[in-house]
Amino acid sequence: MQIDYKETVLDNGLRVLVHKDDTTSMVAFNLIYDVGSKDENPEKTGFAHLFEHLMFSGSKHVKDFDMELDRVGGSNNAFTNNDFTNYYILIPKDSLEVAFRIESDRMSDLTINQKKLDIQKGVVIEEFKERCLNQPYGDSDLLVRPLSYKVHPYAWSTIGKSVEQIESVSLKDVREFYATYYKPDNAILTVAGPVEAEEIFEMSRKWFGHIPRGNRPPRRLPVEPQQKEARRESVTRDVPANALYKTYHMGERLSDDFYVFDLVSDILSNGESSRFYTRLVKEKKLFNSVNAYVSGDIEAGLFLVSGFLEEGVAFETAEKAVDEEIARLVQEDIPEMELQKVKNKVEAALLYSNMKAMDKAMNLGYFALMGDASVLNREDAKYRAIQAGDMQEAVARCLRQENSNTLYYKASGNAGPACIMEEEE
Amino acid sequence: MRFDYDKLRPRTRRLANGIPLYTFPDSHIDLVRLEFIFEAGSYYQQKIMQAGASCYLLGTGTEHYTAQALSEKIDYFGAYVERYPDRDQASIVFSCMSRYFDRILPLCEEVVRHSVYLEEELDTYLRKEHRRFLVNARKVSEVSRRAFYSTMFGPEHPYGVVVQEEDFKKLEAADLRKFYKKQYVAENCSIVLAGNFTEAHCKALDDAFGGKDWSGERADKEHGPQTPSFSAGRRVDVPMEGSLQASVRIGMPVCDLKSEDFPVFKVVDYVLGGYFGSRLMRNIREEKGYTYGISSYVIPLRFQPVWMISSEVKADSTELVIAEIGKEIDKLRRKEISEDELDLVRHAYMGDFMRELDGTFELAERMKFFTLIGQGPEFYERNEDVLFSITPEQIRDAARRFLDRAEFCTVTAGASSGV
Repeated sequence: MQIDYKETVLDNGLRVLVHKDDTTSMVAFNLIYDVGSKDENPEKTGFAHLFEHLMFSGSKHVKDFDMELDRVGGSNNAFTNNDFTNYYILIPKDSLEVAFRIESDRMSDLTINQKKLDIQKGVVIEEFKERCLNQPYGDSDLLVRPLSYKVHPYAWSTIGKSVEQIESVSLKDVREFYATYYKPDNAILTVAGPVEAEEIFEMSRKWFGHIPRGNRPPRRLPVEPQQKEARRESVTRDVPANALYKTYHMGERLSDDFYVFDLVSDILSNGESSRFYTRLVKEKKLFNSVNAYVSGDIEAGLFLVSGFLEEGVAFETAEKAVDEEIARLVQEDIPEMELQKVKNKVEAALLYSNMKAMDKAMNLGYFALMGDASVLNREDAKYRAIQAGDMQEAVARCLRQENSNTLYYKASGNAGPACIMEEEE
Repeated sequence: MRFDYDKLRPRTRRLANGIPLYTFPDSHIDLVRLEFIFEAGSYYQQKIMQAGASCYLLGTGTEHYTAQALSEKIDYFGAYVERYPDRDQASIVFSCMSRYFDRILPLCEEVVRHSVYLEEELDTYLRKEHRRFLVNARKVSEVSRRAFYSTMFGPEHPYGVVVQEEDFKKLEAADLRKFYKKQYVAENCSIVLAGNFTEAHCKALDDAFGGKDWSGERADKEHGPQTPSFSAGRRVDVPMEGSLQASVRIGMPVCDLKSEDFPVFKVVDYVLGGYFGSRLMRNIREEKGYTYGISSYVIPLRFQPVWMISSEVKADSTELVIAEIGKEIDKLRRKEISEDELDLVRHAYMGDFMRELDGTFELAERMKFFTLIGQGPEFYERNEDVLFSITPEQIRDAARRFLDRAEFCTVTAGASSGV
């Protein structure tokens, strides 16, 4: 897999990357701002995401982004995570300039007022409930993060710590945030589709060239100190079954750790032939389902295990079984076949995740944000180079009790369904 | 902005036994997607969960492999298997890198044609499904979904039936073998192949699946439509103590997708709740902030399609939301849509459509829908023709004809008391 691209930087600091893809008639337009929930004030978490909603409120020359784009068959959406905020538009080639016009106006002349802020607070609070607060196990991320991080801002979820913090946001906060982070030198534009690099560079200069640079303060995030002893916590909730969550600190996204632990997690839980599934779910019947994965954050992240226990299985028994599977990775050889298997799975997954123009635009932007877009083209080679010994070294170094955080998410014991279905008129 | 419908037309050939093989070749990608669609949905089952389990357990033990040995092989080649049981059809999709397709094909044959269904595998499946059942009983959207279908069709109808706690004890592996033998036969099968493959692969598919030795009875010939007991105008409220949000579902049976009425109804649906800038989204999300999202859509059930509005809303605003939905519907019935909004709707619809079908695998995925409704790309062409020729007056008249609030079935789950 090779994704070719050309790159330039405008005088005002906006980075522009272009990938030519003639297999589609649609153009993917992706704009990343280098600001995420890790940049928030700990007393006003959830703010970056709320702000992303406000970015759809209209701007000086574009009253309604959705409507403008709908009119030309385009669509736009966005997401926020701990590391960055990503706005994307998919639009027919003939109308591409509309995307430039809209995003340029949004970067320079956003309209915000109290009414729009209040409505979007309502929408975001409903989103908070729909995703986290009103779903069984939906608050697990809200619990696991502060257990795992004591000083680093990964301690909170992108959605925020609480509804109250979202409610506390003022119009002044919104204006300051916009003025600080929504600047060309804090953004990366990636365009993929049936386009020529030079025409995109030219359009970028035309629509973004006049926007002055910003002055964002350098990011100085507190460094999470090396964890010295295991942390444990228990909560009880009205859910039908016990769940176990375990996290371990590991390296950052671009470090070898990420690739190694991604493969480790695949050995443990990717597919019906994985170790967790065959031994812990099918053979020993300790878990109903159990997964291992990496958080994939840009800065030092987590290796996570989450599992839903079978009825009647003690937490200690289930946790011990997970620990044993982790220990086996180090104590026993990892068969060459198994290593090949997870590498083949990763290769296929990389092909899938870079099939469409939009995937490629987003991925190029993401790697550019981390410093070098070309790393995207070296991912498969990085995975391929990993040896069993690398995995064992990393597991022994990181997947230790002293480096672990464990959450017992206990069912309140009310085993019946939360609602009795009675149909009344 | 018109869609090139030829892209949606596969090259069609028939295997020796008559199974249609639809192909969407694309040499730009290094992947292959192979889908087997069977007329084996829950509509045809004799026992609750029989169809779902038969589909999910395809390949978990076959005549020549244990579940473990087979999944080791499939995983080794980096392939993925997805199983999609639904109400009318069930399908299984194999995706892999082109260079391993030769190796994966014989395994597909094992999964599709030689599954054996073991009690221990069924036991694992039922453990998982039972857990899902218990978790779903705490999700407002799932509780309302169950109540909606059961209210709409009646609990005796195949589309209205809902799983109960005791059903998990009744299903046996023998039930699955029976269903598999009857439904997973050549007459009930369509195959869709997309991506980077060769003529030799098509030949290999014919060798593996073109035989006369897995013949049976076409499903929808045997079971025709069953009469549902629709309960027009019913309202059901399922309380869920302490819920922060309520799920609201409002819907009704809708005309056949092949009928002349359908493209007209589709326009009304689209204006009301079919896209991000729809009237329901603008009113209930963007003006009032009662929800994260609200939409309307058609569920294409073969024998009786359903139309529905659904949303998760602030629990204490449930009645307000239902009232606002009513107002929006009345407005569509009362007032003609402006030319400006109609223009917006036309472009938004075409944009959505073109984006959804941007890619060879996306085109191939549509074949399942086409085999479901028994019509090809002309279905979409007709929708588009109507969308671009319809007048505001015709839309208003259609709203009057189709959106009769007295016919709606309304279900809520988790609404604050005082409903």
